[in-house]
This record gives sequence, structure tokens and C-alpha cells, in this order.
Amino acid sequence: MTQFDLNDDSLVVIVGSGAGGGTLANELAQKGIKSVVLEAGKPYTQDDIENDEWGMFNKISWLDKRISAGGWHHAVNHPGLPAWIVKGYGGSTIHWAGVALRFKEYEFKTRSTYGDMADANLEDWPLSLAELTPYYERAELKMGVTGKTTGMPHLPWNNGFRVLAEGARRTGRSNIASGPMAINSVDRDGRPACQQIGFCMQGCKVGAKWSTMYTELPRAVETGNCEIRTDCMVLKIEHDAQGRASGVLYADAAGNQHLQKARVVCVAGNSIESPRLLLNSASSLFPDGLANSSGQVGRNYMCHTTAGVYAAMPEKVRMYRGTSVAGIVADEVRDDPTRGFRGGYHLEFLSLGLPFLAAFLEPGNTGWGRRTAEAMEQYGNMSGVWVCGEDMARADNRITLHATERDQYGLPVPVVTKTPHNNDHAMTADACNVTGEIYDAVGAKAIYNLPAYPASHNMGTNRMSADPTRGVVNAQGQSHDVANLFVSDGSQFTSSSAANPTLTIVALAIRQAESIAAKMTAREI
Amino acid sequence: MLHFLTRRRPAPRAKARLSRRGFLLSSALASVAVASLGHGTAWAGPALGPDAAATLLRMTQDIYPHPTLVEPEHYQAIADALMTEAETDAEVKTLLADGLTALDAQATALHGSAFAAVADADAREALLRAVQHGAFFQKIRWATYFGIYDNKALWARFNYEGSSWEEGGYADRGFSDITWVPQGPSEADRLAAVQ
Repeated sequence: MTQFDLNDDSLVVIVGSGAGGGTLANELAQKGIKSVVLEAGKPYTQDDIENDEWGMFNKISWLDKRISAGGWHHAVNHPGLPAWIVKGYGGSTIHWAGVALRFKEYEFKTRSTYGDMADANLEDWPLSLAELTPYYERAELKMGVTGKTTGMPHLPWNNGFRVLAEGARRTGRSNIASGPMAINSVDRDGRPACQQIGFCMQGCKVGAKWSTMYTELPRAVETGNCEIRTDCMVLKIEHDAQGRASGVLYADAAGNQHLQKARVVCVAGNSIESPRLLLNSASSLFPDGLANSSGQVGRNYMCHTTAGVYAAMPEKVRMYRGTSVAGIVADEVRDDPTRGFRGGYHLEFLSLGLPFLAAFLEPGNTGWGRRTAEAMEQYGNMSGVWVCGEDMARADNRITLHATERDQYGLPVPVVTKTPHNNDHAMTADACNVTGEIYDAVGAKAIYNLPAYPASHNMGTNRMSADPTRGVVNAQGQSHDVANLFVSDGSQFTSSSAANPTLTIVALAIRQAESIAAKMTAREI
Repeated sequence: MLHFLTRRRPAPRAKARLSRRGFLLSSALASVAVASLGHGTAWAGPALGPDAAATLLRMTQDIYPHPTLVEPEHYQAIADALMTEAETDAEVKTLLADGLTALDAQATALHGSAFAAVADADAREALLRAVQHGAFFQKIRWATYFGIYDNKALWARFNYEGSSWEEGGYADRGFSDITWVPQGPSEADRLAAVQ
């Protein structure tokens, strides 16, 4: 691997190696632009991947101290784990299930579509579906998404999804498919077809599911234009007297601090770490945090309106056999105010293994006793759904820095405060009712509603807006305040939509790489 | 580890718990640890006494009761591992000894007998619900959780098969083998759908 000098100030420095950072590094590398990727986590490989829920949770999760606050149940039941993401080479593309959905047009325009919603802080993206569509197509080709862009068929239906799909059909639904998934259904791009192993969220052992771990990152390195440093936690972004980003201060595995100089800095540490880094980079020139003249850094934290619904069926299902998210019912993805809420939701079949279902069936101190034990004895007969619904931006749902608590790097601990909007409560209730009707239609004997899991979809904390007073970055993810600072992850999302975020993160990273290359050529940055 | 999901705890102690928790993960591991410490298996007495041991065993059975699916020796292994931990960790010993004593005292006050001798399962559950938010109960609860649901030796009882990649996954081993709902679309249908 090429090694760059700490004093080399011609480089793009990318913070994070997941869907945003990993993709951006490879896109830049293919254009001949040199970058250093600083990844806080360890250098995992596919040899580290096990089909073991707790084993992988303990191995790869981001478990640095964080605090859940606000009115969501996490503040009680998951006080130290607001989010379930990865600290490691490849970031949360190790953990993601592979669902590769595009946003709908209205989901880019929440403020103009939903109007001035009380207690919300909605904003339109400075981007349309039409503008992003060519990048969605390039993302789908890159990642290997089943569907019309690649011509790769969706995956075969597994037992658990067949149960959900039949219930959906019997209740009059028709938008039922086993894709789009960024999981090979045939051998493609040097990666094998899915073997229906299960454990997608513990990392794909064979590499059928797209992850930057074995696609973008090694391909970026192969060009000689990219150096990836693992076990390197970024502490602060430095700037010069003119207020331009000049370098990144980080701690290596031994705790030694280094300053990597930079021509351009791209932040892709996911929606808790990215705003935290900007807030931690406050200076006399930027007293409220770097790139925060809008006051929106850290605000509008969204993680999807969700619930789990598990149904005990009269006969065997063995839902764990096959891809974890084996299919999607999309009939409820529409904005229909007569339902009592705005925006819509996907019903995504999701299998959990026995250990995780027992932990999440009723999280917290009370999830034990005969009710839990009886439910777990039905495990082999269960099919289940994870609800992925639009979560409304609220200004006070936000990432802040704890006043006194410090983590192992000496940084203030991030506090993740979220209180669901009333729209979220109404949507969750509707989604649970609908899913219950679907499973009842195929003869469910018992139905269990689970509250949200620690959030794997984290969005919105450095949001895009055409208006520099209402957002942190522009349509290219470029800071309104600091021209050579970019946000390259889901924190730039203006709305959450009902779509899993990864495909959009990748599409935006491809688009951003073009923008960075053009601006560098034009000497604008 | 699970305490990240469930508890607030100062960092240094959390770290110590983490290493001890590893030891509770399976009864097999716990036995190895016990043997290596030279205690053999007749150690329950010295740590907490036989009454406490009986109360602890009954608790594990009431926390995740699977009377027809999980044999008593699996619950015994969970209780034994906790007792072993109490032998080597004074803090745990105090937590368990005090909690078990208080539980028996409350059972005696309300029902006239020690916890394990209260015949009515509802009455026992009520006694436990009253203490469920405390560290004593949650310590035993999570040890039991791991000993039952994260115990590979028991997974087949719950119709769970665990790791599959070594077998080539389920592509040829029944990922779509149920017959009581319709089949999914054929390969030709799926291919046609994306043209």
C-alpha cells in the first residue's frame, strides 16, 4: 500500500471507511486523486466474520461510550447504545443487510410536501430524484443491486418471506418483492452468488453482499492512490487563518497523536461521529463548531420510524434460513394524510437469530418470565418484519457533547437525544396494525410487537440545504462555511425517507467525487 | 457486551464485568474455569451455602422457564457458574448473598417458606418482579439469558441451527422448503421481472 507523508498537503483526507468514505476513496482513486482514509476501527477481513450474533456484536460494534437521552425508549432500555453500527475497516457496510432502495420524489421534498408540520424542522433537499437517478444507477451497478439496472434477478424467496408475502397478498397488497438487494443472485464482479447463509448483519462470509471491506477499499488501494490507516481515531479538524481546513489530528492505536495535512477533508464517520467531530473542532474562528454557522450541526437526528413485529405461525418457518432481509412489502410507501400521518414505510422481512430475538423481544429489565419463554419456544415457527418508516426531522433531536464525561481518547462523550414526533407514533401504530393483519391472514397464533432496535440507520445531523442558514452543506455535500470541507455520509441527509440509507449514501459519494475532482481541477479547492 | 444495552455503570467496573461475563457465556467454559482453579464441583457450599444455592437455581428456572424443553442440569450449570464467580469475586458474592437472603426473607414473610419452596409459580414471579430492576436480579437474569439462548448446546431445542456457512449455507438445505404457503416466483419469473 502506498504511504503518504504527514506533511503532504495535496491529499484528500477521508474520515471513515464505510459506505460514504469507502466509496468516495475509490471513486477519487480511480480518477487519480490521492487520499488517506482514517478509520477508527480495526482492520477486519472476511476471516473475522462468524455466524454468531453476540460474537460479531462484540467484535465489530461501535461500543465507545455514548449516552441515549430524550423521550425514546433507548434512554431507558439502551442507555449506552443508542446506535448499532460498526467500528472497523468497511464501517457499517459489514453490518448492513443489503437493502438498496431509492428515495421517492416526494421524499426529497418533505417541507413542500408535508407543509409546516408542528414540532418538526423539515427542509427540502437541494436535489431532485431526477438529478440523483443517474447516480443511483451507477451505485446499483457498482454494488451489484438486483433489479433492472444490473439485470440481476432478485433473490429466491425464503420461508420467512413467503409467509409474509402470502399474508400481504391475502390482504390485497401487490408491491411484494425480494429486492432490490445489493446481494449477488448470480456470480458477479468477482463475488459469488448468495448461498442463503443468513447472518447478513454479522457480515457476509462469502462476500455476496456488497461491503466496502472487499470492494471499494482494496480497489482504491490497488490504484496506488489511496492509503488506509486503521485504528486511527480522528480527534479534530484543523484550519488555517483563512478558515480553510488544513489537516486532521488523529490518535493511532498506541495513542500517539499525528497531524495529517490535507488539501480537502471529507467527513464520513456516520451521523453521531461526524457532527461530533465538527463540534469538537470548534476554534476561535468557529466558536460553535466547524462549519456550524447555521447552528444545524448535530441537529435533525433521524433514525427511521421503526418497530419489529414477529408472528408465531401454526407450522414451521425457520426464518433464519436464508438472507436476513429476504423481501420487502412496499405498498405502504406513500404519502396519504388520511392515514393520520405523513410519509410512508416499508415492511421488510427480517430474521433474527435465537439470541437476538430473546434479547429484543422485550428489551430492558422486564423481558423475562413465562411470556418471553413461551414466545421463544415458538421461535422455529416465527416470521417477522422490521418497519422502515420516514422519521421527521426535529431540531432538538440532536448530537451534543457531554459537559464532563470523556471517552478513551479524551474527547467529550456524544449524547444522542431523540424524542419521536407524534407522526412517528401514529406511523408506528399503523405499521404494527397492518403487519398484524398481514400475519393474521396467514393464521398467526400470536403476534409480538417489538420496540425499535438500537439505530443502524442514522441520518441528518449535518444536513443539506440550499439555504446556508438552514443546513450545513450544499447539494454536493460541501460545507457552506468551509469550502474544502465535505460531509460524505448519511449525516448530510435532509430527510430520512422510508428507504434504507446506504444506496443513497453511495450515490451521493459517487456524485461528490465528481464534484471534488472538478473543483480541484478548477483550483476552487 | 450486553451491559451496554441494559445498564449504566462506571467505566472501570464495566470493564471488569466484561471479562467475567465471558466466563458465563457457556456452562462448558465455566466448567473448564472451575477445574483449572482446582475446586472440582463440590464448591457450592463454601461460597453461599445450600439454601442460597437452591434459591438461585429456582430463580434461573423462573426467569426463563422451559420445563419441557430444557433439562434441570442446564439451569444447574448456570447457577453453578454464578456460584463459582461468587467464590472468586467478593463483590459478586455480596451481591448474590444479600439478594438471595432478602428474596428468601420476603418469600417467608409473604408465603411462609423460602423462595424455592413457594409452590405457586405466579407467587414466585411476583416476588421476582418486585426486585427486577435491581443489580442482583439483572445479574442472574443475564447469566440465565446467555446460558439458555446463547448456548449452542440448546439451540436445536428451539429449532435454531446457528452457524451455516461451513455447510454452504441453506441454498441447498431448505431455505425455502415449507409447503403450507405458496412457492415464491420461479427463476424465470424473477428474471422476467427485472428485464
